Amino acid sequence: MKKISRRSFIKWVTLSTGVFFTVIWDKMVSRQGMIKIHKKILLPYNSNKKVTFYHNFIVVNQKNGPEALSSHCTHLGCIINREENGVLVCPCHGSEFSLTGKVVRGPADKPLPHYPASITPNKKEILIES
Amino acid sequence: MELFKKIFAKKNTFGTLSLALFSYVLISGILLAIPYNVDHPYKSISNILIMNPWASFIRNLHYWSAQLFLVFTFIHLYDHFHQKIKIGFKKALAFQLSLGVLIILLAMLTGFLLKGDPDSQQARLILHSLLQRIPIAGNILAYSLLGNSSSYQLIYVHHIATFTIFITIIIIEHAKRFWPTKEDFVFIFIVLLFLSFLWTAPLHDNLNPTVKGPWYFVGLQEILHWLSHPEWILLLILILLILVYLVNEGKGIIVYISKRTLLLFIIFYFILTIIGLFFRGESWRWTNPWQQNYRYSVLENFKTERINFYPSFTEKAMKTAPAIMGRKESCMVCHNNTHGFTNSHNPQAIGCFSCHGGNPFATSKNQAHNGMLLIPGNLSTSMQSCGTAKCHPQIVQRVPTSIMSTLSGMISVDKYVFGEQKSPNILTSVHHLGNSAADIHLKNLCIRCHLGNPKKETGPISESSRGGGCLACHLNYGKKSLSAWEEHKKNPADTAFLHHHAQISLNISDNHCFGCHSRSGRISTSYEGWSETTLTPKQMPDNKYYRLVEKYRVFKKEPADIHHTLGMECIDCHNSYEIMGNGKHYAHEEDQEIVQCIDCHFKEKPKLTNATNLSEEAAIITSLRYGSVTGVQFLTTHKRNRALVNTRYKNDTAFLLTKSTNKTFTLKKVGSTCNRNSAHQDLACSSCHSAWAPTCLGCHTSYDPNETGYNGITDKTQKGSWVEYTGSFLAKPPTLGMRIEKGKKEVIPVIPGMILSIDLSSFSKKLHDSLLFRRLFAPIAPHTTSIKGRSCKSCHNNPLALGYGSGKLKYVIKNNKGHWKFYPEYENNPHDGLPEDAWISFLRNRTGMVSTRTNVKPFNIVEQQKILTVGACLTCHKETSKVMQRSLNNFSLALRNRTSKCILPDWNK
Repeated sequence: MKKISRRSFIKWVTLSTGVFFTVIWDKMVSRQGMIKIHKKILLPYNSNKKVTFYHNFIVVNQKNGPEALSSHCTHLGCIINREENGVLVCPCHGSEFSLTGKVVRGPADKPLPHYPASITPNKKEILIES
Repeated sequence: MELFKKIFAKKNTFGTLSLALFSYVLISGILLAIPYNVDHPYKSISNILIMNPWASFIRNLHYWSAQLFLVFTFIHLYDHFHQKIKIGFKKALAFQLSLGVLIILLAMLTGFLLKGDPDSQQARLILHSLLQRIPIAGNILAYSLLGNSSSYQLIYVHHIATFTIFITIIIIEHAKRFWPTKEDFVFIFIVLLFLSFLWTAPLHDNLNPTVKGPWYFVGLQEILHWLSHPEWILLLILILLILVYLVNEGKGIIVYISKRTLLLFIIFYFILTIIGLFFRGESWRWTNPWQQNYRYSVLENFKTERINFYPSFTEKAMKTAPAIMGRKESCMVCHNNTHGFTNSHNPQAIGCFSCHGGNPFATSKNQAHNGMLLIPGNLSTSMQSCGTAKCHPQIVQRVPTSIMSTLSGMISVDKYVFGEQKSPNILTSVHHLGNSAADIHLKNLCIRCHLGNPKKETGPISESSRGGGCLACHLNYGKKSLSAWEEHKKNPADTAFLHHHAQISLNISDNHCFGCHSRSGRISTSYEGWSETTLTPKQMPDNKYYRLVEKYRVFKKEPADIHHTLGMECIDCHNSYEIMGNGKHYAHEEDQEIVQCIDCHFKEKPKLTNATNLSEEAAIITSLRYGSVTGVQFLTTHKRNRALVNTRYKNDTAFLLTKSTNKTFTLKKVGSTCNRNSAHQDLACSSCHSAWAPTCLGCHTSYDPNETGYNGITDKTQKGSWVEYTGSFLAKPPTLGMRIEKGKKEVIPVIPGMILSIDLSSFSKKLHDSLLFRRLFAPIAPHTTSIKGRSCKSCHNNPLALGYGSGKLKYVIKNNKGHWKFYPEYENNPHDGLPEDAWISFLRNRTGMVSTRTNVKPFNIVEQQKILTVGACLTCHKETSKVMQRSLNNFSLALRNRTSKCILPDWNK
């Protein structure tokens, strides 16, 4: 049997311990919060309001019904909480989106994602599937 | 520098100073953990700032020691590179140091995130998004560093443990023999004491729309705003870390290149940081110090107060104050017993800061009132009060382009009359006035009424008020607040008014409109049945039939508008989209206005809107005024389809509810006389139903360099002013004219808008500038509606209605031929040979510069002849006669069937 030097033994042990913890870390974090569960979210709905800002969503009442957009700017995820003259403006780096979510001005280059949304029968809430 | 060197022995470097600073970071950090609450970070810090100056001091110490630690560490690093000290780093140590730089920045950044204010919340999202974009391990790294998005726990753990321990290990290993001296500790401590006492660490007020990262990442924010694919920034960070590693560990030319590249980057980054800090405002827009909003959107970030160890209030008082928008507000401690608000503006919900600004985290009166808006709502500051994102941003954005703010029509017409503009339809604004004759004329006499004219003193809106932004309409003093305010005016030491706040509400009375609208077209006074005279207050005969306005204008009683008599107010017809505009810059008032008589007094079926289809603004106003309106149908304007929220349509009947006085009226459909499509179908309702309109004759305007005048822009008096010399004010049934728009003709009421001479040479002092004479009529909505329309004769046989001016109009039949003759009351004006009050010459065409609009003209010869033909019939036949009534259905037939006694006018001379 080949003799392993003390130095290389320690190296191997360190490396394998590192790999062990990295794998466990990966598994643990994935379990903890990485699995994306499709959630349904019920939010108060105002049919008269053209644009409503929620924490993670923007609901825009278009002619053919409400549309739920992500309120997170596609550039770096900042929450868009302001509309200026029919344009959604990101406070962090100034990206602008139309009310349908299309990019009007950069730096963002992707449109805001849409989520399926429906109005509850009492017309007071909106159900968003994220 | 010499002194610095003297104080410190050779052993002292920026490294030892950094180490001393780090010790203070640790001590202050441990202490700060006591008042800090990771479950409610923002609220707990606002509590610290307001209630606990000692904790605030510790927070400042933590903040400043950390900032200086970062700065000194970098200087130390640069120092090391610069002096080329090769201490003989091992590869591992060089790697460790590069990683150390990253960890220090992360420790700093997590500290920034733990504030939990809007700046931190957005920074957290950016960090999360950037980490996620690291290849392979992105998601895991992001979650492992920031944890669950609803909690700060993991960030806190990393801040106080992971990174701190790591930095401590690196420092111990790195410093080894080089430890700070006593002088280091003392010097640093003194600096920190000063900094911590004088400047409080920043905390966002939760309203200002500007969002910025920590100062050391503002340059990064600038770079990120250029990048559509921000993941490239990760590569840049990696390159920088490798460069730091190479400077330590590389050899020869590599060290040189790495060092120079790093230096260039530092210079570049420094410039970007300056740009980010001082030239970027809300939504990262370029903002320079000359812009009006610079102070609010840029400098507000630097607003900081010194520590006040003896707050003006007790801790108990502060504890009972409500949390507002996720944080405490110290204003509410002193102003805790203030009443008079509507529910929407209750300070328990929105605090004082939302409207009045100032410093919400202050501990003394002076601090709290620093930068405060005593009178919020003026247009120049409305974006920081009424118009903040959580309040009324859409409305405040559109008001500045509304006609009351721009005064576009007034300015354009004036410049047109002065010969400075070719058309009266050019879009103009009070903000672009220069120093021409017309501009000065406007500044002296006209534009004080623009909505942007700031309200400068407290007190109710009165008949002498002009402008005032949002407050011009929405400010109301109740009985208590008014008497308390009056007491305070008499005796400034009486502060009871602080407990009785004026109300911001939808109760907009006619008095709000009166200050401005009792002038020029005098709509407010006409509506209430008052006509201005040239009498002086001393000549005023009585108080019953005469009224004194603003202590010097005497008005005489005339019939009031029927809507006023019934108890309707201005806002019962005019809605928010008319008054505050729809965001579009219109040339003239009538372009912005949308309500027409026909919207309420419709022919058969009205235009309707269901409650579910109301616009957001209309829905809010409706619910505030009337509560739930489920299932209600509202009448809707024919122009631009705006629901009239104070109307109802039920069982084929339309109702109008007054907005403030709770009266209900059943709306009458348009009368059968008006509904006939064979005669008078081109007439606007107001051309028949206006009892009278104010007119002003014989004006002369000249510039007097010695007259003390007023500048409506600066709101100050000045020497030299345009002066108006009025001829006479009259109240007469209006003249009629023709509005031609898109090929459609409409007969409308007009008044002598500008029959005046302007002495231009008095202003320019140039001889070739002659006396301008203008004879322009202006369209008007007289607001003197009467139920009964004008009689047939009041138009067809009335020289004033036709535009000839006052006088006698006679139909003379001679030799079986009929001729109309006109004998004017006034002398002919030498400038154009027309009687003083005329618009046109008798049975002549007049074209060219005839009215204050390009689409309004006097009757042409053919139209005059048509009107006078009917007038000829009316000289014999009574209006009520069968033949005249029949003629309304078919006039040609009536003419064909006439007897030989009927002599029609002969138009040949």
